[in-house]
Amino acid sequence: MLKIAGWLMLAGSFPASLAAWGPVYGSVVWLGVLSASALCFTFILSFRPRAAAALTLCAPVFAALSLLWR
Amino acid sequence: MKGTFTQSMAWLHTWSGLIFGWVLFIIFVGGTLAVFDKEITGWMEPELSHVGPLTDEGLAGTIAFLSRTAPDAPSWRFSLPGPRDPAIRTSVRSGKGRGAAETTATLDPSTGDVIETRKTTGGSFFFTLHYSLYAGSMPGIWLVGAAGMAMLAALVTGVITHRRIFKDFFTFRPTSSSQRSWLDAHNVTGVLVLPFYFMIAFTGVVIFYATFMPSGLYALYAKDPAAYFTEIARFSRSGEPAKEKAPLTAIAPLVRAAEKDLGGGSGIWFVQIANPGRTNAQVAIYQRDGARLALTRDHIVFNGVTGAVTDRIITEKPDAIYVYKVMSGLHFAQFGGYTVRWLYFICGVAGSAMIATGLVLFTVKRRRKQGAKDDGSPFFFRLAEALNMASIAGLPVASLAYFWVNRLVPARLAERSEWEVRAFFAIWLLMLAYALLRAFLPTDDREKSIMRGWIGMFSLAAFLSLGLPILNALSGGENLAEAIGGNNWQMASVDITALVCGIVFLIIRGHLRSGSTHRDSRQKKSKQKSPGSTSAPSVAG
Repeated sequence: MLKIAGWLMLAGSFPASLAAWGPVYGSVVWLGVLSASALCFTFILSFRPRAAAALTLCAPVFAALSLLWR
Repeated sequence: MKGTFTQSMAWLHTWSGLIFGWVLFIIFVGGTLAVFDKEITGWMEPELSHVGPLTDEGLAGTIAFLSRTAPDAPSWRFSLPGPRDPAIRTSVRSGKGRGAAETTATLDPSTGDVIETRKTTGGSFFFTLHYSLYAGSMPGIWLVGAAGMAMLAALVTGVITHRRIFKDFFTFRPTSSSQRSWLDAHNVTGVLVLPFYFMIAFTGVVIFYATFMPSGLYALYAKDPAAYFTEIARFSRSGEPAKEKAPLTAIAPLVRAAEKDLGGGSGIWFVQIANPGRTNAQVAIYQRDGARLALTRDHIVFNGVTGAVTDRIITEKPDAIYVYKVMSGLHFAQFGGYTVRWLYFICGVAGSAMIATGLVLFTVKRRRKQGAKDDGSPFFFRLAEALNMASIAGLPVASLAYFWVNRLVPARLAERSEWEVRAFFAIWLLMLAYALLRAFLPTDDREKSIMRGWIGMFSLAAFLSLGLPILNALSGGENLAEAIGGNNWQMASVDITALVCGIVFLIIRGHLRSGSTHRDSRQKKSKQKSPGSTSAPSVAG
């Protein structure tokens, strides 16, 4: 259930990125942001697993903010 | 090459990765720093911290300066201030073609007065290092191109050999056995940023397509290969300077007209004036990169005497060469502002880490196979250890030293910018010599000797990074507190990045130290018990 929700949100982030950055930059920035955040998350998950769990709860807020700030 | 398909792929991954890994590491670190080339140049020219905004007087002053200092030059070129560079920079070539000497100057955009900055290669040093390794233009570009192809091969073979690519997506076990955690780190940095690596390696090779695969070009443009580039870039040919003189029209109205015509919101990048002061003078005004993803280099051409528009080179309908422009746009990352720049920087750091962990993995694996005391190990593996040390730890030391040299070499020294580059390579060679000594000098514990080399170099790198903001404050730069207070984030972020790097180097050094003491105690224990229990499982697959 969580997994499906995760995949759906991941899929939803793509049109969101296109909307925020325009169709040309959107796809590039989407891949870049995903790569960079996956990288950071892996390191947090490995060294501070509790912080990673807390971060996942904050993630939607950050995501909304980043779209506004752009 | 042997055995199954997967084994052959693993073999290819190991060897193409290793042989080109050292070169690729330099290319990646250079490219990552070149993302912020203008910001680094800004840090290296503290004299520029307080210049005014662009005015019409500034433009007129620039033209006056050029007509005073280079009245007979075939062409002038100057860049206008932008979000990443506050000054006007003029460049005059003594003739046409590649061999012509170039004279540059830095002007205040509000007055057109010359600003006496120190002569520095600045951030473009890392740019040149990135695409040609300072190995001479053509040999360097070919070497980098070969490394790019090897990287593509290593990426494909790496994906094939990584059996559990999706299952291990986020697997990183820093506390498990050393070889396991190196492999995890290599996989994580490799897999998560894979789309970026494919993109950057592929576009990087494509940028020099005409150099690497020139046959088509020579078949069609046998008489004049340069005509091809003139055609695709749609450069306007200006012809030879006319005999009769004529005053140049005022530049400021042309810049405003071009900016309005080009649109895009990214402003004007540079102005190129052919045959200045002659009746056939021609002014081309170029749009700054970043108005779109593709590097289109749109520009407006004016008659230099009357100021009338003679040509508008604006990419409207994508043509075949547009594919190339999109690819180079993706590689050069001039679009999307600082968000995109930082993304490229982070991906570049990850790429450097992927290459570094791959190189280390090679020696860690061999060390395991041969046991701890490998004083009788073949020449090549010791050489690999030394080259790893000199590139992974030595390159950061030399790069940081380059920043230090910028502030420590007297501002008035003759050939100053050449000395900066020479200092970089001298310090790097010193690091190489030290690494070779650590790997080849007779010792009863080779691994300890090598580990000491690593710890020493990372200590030096940490010292140089953490000291950089202090050096900056002491040697005429805006200090970190001032820069943040004055909202000068370009200056502040160089200092902050140096501090972050310093902390990372300290952490690496700490891990190495605890690892080596851990090994010492383990070795003592295994001496009391039975030796030879270190056989590691093969991880090539």
